[in-house]
Amino acid sequence: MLSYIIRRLLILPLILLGVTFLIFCLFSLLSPMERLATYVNNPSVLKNPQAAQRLIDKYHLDDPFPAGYIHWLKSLLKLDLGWSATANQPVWEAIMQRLPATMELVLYSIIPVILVGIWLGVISAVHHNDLLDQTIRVTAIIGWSLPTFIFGLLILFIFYGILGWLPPGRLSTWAQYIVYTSESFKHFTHFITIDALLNGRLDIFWDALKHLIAPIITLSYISWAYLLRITRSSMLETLRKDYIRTARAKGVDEKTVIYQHARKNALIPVVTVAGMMIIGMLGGVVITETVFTYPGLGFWAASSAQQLDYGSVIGFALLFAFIMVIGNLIVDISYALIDPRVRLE
Amino acid sequence: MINKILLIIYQEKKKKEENDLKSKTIHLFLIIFLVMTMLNTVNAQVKDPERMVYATIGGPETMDPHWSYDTASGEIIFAVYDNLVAYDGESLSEFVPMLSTEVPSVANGLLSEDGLTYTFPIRKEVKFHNGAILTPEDVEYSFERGMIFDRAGGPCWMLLEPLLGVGTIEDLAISVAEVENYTDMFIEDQLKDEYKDEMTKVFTDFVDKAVEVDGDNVVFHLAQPYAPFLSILAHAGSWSAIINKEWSIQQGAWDGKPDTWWLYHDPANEEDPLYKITNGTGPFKMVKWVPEETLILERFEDYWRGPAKLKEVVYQYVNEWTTRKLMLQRGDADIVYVPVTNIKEVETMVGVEVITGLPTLTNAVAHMPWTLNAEGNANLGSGKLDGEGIPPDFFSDIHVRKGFSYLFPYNVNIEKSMHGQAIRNPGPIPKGLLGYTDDPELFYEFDLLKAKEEFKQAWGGELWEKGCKFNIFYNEGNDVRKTVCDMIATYAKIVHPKFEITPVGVQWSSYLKQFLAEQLPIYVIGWLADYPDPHNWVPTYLGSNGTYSGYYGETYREWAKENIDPLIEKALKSTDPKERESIYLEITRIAHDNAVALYLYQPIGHHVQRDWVKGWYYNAMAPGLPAGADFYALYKE
Repeated sequence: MLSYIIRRLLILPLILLGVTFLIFCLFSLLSPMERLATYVNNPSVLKNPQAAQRLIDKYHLDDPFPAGYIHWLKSLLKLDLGWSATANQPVWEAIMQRLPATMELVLYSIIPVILVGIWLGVISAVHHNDLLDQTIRVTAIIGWSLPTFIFGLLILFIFYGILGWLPPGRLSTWAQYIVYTSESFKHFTHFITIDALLNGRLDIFWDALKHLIAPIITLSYISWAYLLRITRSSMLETLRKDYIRTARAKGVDEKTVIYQHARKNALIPVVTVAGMMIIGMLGGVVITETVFTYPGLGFWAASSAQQLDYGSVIGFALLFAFIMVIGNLIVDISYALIDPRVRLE
Repeated sequence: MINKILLIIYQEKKKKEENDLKSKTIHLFLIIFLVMTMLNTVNAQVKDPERMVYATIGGPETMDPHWSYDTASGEIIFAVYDNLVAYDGESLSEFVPMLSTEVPSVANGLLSEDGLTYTFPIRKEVKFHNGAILTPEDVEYSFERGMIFDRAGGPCWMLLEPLLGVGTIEDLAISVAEVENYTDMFIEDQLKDEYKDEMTKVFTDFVDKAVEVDGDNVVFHLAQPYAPFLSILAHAGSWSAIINKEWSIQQGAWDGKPDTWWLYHDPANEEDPLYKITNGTGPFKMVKWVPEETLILERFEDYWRGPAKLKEVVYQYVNEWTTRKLMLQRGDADIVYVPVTNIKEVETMVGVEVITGLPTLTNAVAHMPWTLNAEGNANLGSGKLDGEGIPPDFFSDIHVRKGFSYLFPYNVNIEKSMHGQAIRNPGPIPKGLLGYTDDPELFYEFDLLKAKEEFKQAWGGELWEKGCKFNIFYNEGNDVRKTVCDMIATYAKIVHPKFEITPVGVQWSSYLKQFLAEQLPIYVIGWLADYPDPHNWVPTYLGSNGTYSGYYGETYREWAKENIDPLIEKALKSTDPKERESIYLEITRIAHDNAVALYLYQPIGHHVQRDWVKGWYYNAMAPGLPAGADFYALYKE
C-alpha cells in the first residue's frame, strides 16, 4: 500500500508540470501586445510605445517560449501569479482571500450530497419500481437535467424575492460591518460560520448560515441527484448477487442484508464517483456563486473570464488543476484502501 | 331504505369533509397571502435609516487619486477626498469653494488678467481623517505628486498640459535632457549618473515652479492660458483631490524631494503605496474594501462642512442583474445600477423611484480613417477597388464618407437598440456643453437616395461600377455597437448589392491594437468626459494628434493640421465664452461638411433608487452618476 502511495506521489509533480505547460501554451497563443492589453484599460498606454515596452519587459511578455515558460514557472514557485486586474490585488492574494468562502460552501454542500444522495439511492433501490422509487427517480432526473443557473435563479426568486428568507451574498450589510471592520471579531478560520461561533456571535452565525443555504441547495442538487442514481444502480446490482440471496436464504433479517451486506459493497464504486464529484463541485461554484453573488473563487473566476483578465483565469485554472490532481490522488488512495484488488493490481 | 339513508348521511358527511378541506385550503392560502402581505409591508418601511446600500457592478481599481481614471474608483475618491473647488450643485460651469475659500476670478483678483496665474486661499482648520490639519503644503504636494506620478494611460496629463504645456512628464524630461527616448536615461531602471542634474532640473525648474505656496495661499502658474483649468480642478474623484503630504510620505509615496521624483514616476498599481488606503478630508472614511465584494464608507464626524446625515455607505458589487433587482425590490439595496435594457422591469416596482432623461457627457462615434495601414491588413480584402476589397485610402474620398453618413438610420438605432434613451449630436460636442448646436442643417439624416447619389460620385464612378468588400468592427460583447455595424452593412447592401460589408466583433485588446495600427476601415468607439469643456472632445475626435483622429492616417493628419488644429488652439486660449462658442460651432460645421465621422448617439442616463432616498441631485461630471450619488447630500426618510 505504501509503495502504491509513494508511486502516485512521485508522479504528482510531473502531472502538475504538464498542467502548467499546457496552461502556458494557451497563454502564449496571444501576441505580446494582446497580452499587454490585458494589463491596461486605457488605449493611451498602448499609444506610448515606451510605456508599452516597459510593461512588456516588466511582465516578460516577449521572451522566447522556453525562457518565458521558465520565468513564469519560477514566479509560480514564489507564488507570484501576477496581478489580477479584476480583483485589483495579486492573484495569489485574491485566491487566498476567496478560497475560505468557497471551501465553506463546498464543504457544507458535501453533507447533503453524501447523506441525501446515498440515503435516497439505497431507499430507491430497496423500493425498486414502487411509488417511492419512482418519485425519487423523477426528483433526481429533474435535478440532473435542470441547468444550475435556472435552478439557482428559481431558488433565489422564491426564497429571497418572495419570501425574503435566504438573501444573496455572504453576509448582510450589518454583519459585514462587524465582521470586516470590528477589531473584536477575530478571524480564526476565515469560515464565517465557525468564526462567528468561536466569537460567540450567534446572530452572525445565523446570518451567515442564511446566506449559505440557497447556494448549498443549488450546488448540491445536481450532485446528489447524480450520486443517487449511481448508488441506486450499484445497490440494485449488489442486491441481485448470490451472496445476498444466500444471506436471505439463511434467514438473515432484511435490514442486516441491506445495510450490512449489500450497502457496504455497493458503495465501492460510489466512493470513486463521490470523490470526483466533490472535486467537480469546484467547477459548479462558478455558476452558483455568480447567481448568489457569493464572494468566492467561482464568482471571481466568472468576473475575470468576462473581463479577459488572463492573470486571474490562469491562477484559477492552476488552482483548479492542482485540486483536481490532489483530489484524484486522494480518491485513488481511498479506493485502494477500500478495495484490496486495486492495491494488488 | 336504511341503506339509502346511510348513503345520504355518508354523502353529506363526505361533502362536509370536502367543504372542510376546501375551507382549510382557503385558510392556508389566506395565511400565505397574509404572510406575503406582511413581507411586502416590510418592503415599504425604511431599512437601516443611517445606512445606504448601493448595489452596482464592477469595483474600483485604486484608491490613489493620481492613479484613478475609472468611474468606480472615482466615486469612492469623490466621497473620501475634497478638491480646492467643486461644481455648484447641478451646474457644469459654476463653481463653489471647497478647500480653497474662494473661487479665483479676474473680478476677485485671484486670477490674473492674462489667465496664467490662479491663487487659491487655503481653508484653515480642515482635518484629514487621520486628524492632521490641512496646510498649503499639502495642496502643493498633491499637485506636484500628480505631475511626477503621471502613470502611463493615467489622468495626470490634465495637470501637465495646462501647468507645464506637455502631455507627459517624460516628454518634458526628454526635452530637458535632450535625449531621444525617456528610457535612454536609464539602465535597468536605474538613472544614469550623467542625467541626474537634468532630471532634477525637470522638478526644480518646471514642476516646483508651477505650483507654489505663498503664505496661506497656493499659486498655480500656467504654461499657457487654459480655459477649462477650473473644470480640471473641480473634477472630483481623481487627479485634483488633495492628499496629506506627511501621511503619504509615511506610506511610501514620493518623498517630496527634487532628486528622487523619477523613482516614483509611473509605478505599477501594485507598487503604488496609496492604491488601497485613503486619508482625505472628505465626508466619509473608507473603512473596508474587499475587492469584488464590498466597500464600506463610514461618516467622518469632523468633516469641515459638518458630518453627513448617513452613518455608513455600503457599496455592494453585484454583477448579476436579477440579484440586484431583487435587492432593490426587497429594500436591501437603496440605490441600484440598472442597465438601460432592464429599465422597464423597475418602472412599475412599488416603492421604487426611477429618474430618467438625465443627459450624460459621453457619446459614440463610427470612425472612418482616411488612409489605412495596408501592411498585413486583411480587413481591406484585395486592397484594391476591384469589387473584392477597398484601397487603403478608400475613405479619403469625401463622397464615400458622405454616402455612409446618409445610409445610417440614426433615429431607428436610438429607438431600437438604445430603447430611446439617447439623443443625437451633430458633431463631436455633446449636448450640455459650450459649442453644442441642434441646428438641423448640421445633422445627416437617413436618406438612401442621397447615399446612392454620393456613392455614384465616389472614386469617379468606379466604386458604383465595381462595388466593394471590407470588414467593419465593434468590440465583442457590446450589443449596441454590434447593431450599429449590422445596420451599416445591411443598408449598404440595400443601396447597392455590390457592397459587401461584414461586421466583425473582436476582443477589446485586439480592437485597440488594430485601431492603433490604423487597420480598421470603420469602427465604433466612444468618449467619456474628463471635464465639461469642448476642448476635451474636439481634439480627441478631430485634432491631428487626437486620441482617435490621430489614427486616421497621414492624409487626415495633414488636413487636420491645416483646418482643425489652429481653431482648437484659438479656442483653448480664448477666455471669452462667446468667441469660444463660435469657434466650436465653426469646427462642428467643418466636421459636418467633410463628413469626418458618423456621430451616432449621446446616451441619456437614468437613476434608480428606493423612494425613501432623499437629497439626490444630478451633476453630469460627478463620478458614478447618474447611477450612483453624492452620498454627502443623501438621507433616508
